[in-house]
Amino acid sequence: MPIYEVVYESGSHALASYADDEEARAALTAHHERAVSGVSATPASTERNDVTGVPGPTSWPAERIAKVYVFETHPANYRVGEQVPADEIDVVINSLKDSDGLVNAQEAAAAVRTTSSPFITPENPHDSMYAMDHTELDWSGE
Amino acid sequence: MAVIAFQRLSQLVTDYVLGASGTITPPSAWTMGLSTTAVATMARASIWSATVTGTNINEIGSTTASGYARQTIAKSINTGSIDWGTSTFDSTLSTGGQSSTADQVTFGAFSGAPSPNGANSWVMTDGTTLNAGQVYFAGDTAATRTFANGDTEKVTATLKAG
Repeated sequence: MPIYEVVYESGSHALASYADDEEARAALTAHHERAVSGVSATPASTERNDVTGVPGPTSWPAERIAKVYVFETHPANYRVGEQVPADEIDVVINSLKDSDGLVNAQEAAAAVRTTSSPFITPENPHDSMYAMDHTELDWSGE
Repeated sequence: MAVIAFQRLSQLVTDYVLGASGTITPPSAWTMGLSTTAVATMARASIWSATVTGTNINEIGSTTASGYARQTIAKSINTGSIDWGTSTFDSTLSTGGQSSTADQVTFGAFSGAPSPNGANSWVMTDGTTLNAGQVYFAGDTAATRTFANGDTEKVTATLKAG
């Protein structure tokens, strides 16, 4: 089942599992229309007798949707159990070499660890924050 | 509000942080799930399971997702991704410790009612397969959340290690 990265206009990102693009559009349109109409996105909430002193807001507005990206599988699975060419790791370490060909061992260890991270730093707030290959859903706020 | 730290979190400290274990290791990313199970019925050795019994933790949307998926939190501090904030220290002897709050995560929008439905807790976990993976810590939701088409859920997690 594909996974959709929903990027809200506010810059928050969410992952959602829909059967197909049709289901995705229906759900996202329903949410987007709430935002345009100023309606809450809070689900039905039943008060609990066993919970007291919970901090923070318990309701929130719907948000306009800016972008939607589609992944074949959950993007947190990026490189899980996957083998990569050793040369790719060498390139990462070589990029840290100083003019004497030396690297800071801790920086090198951190850089190697980053090669398995499923995250990238988005250049723009509405870009995907995942390293996994993806496509963009045609979304015009229908 | 009830919270719980599960065995695996303690084991990461004893085996990985202290002992640099090669087998008990943190995941490449944290994921967060929503559970029908209240923290009051969990135990330190709780596990994810589709079977609702004892101290098992049952995940919403595991039969019918309707837009539900686990959210991710990066193993980083203050980058552009959803990750952890700068940690702070509370020196109070009995209740203090180092704490860090993650960026708020959003679930949804839901496309209808997931099955099972009705979130009573959020769980910091790993992996992306529902009702599977290690569990690290959890907290109650402010209310029982019953999801429908167009709804979202917001969770902001804080870990305080005393």
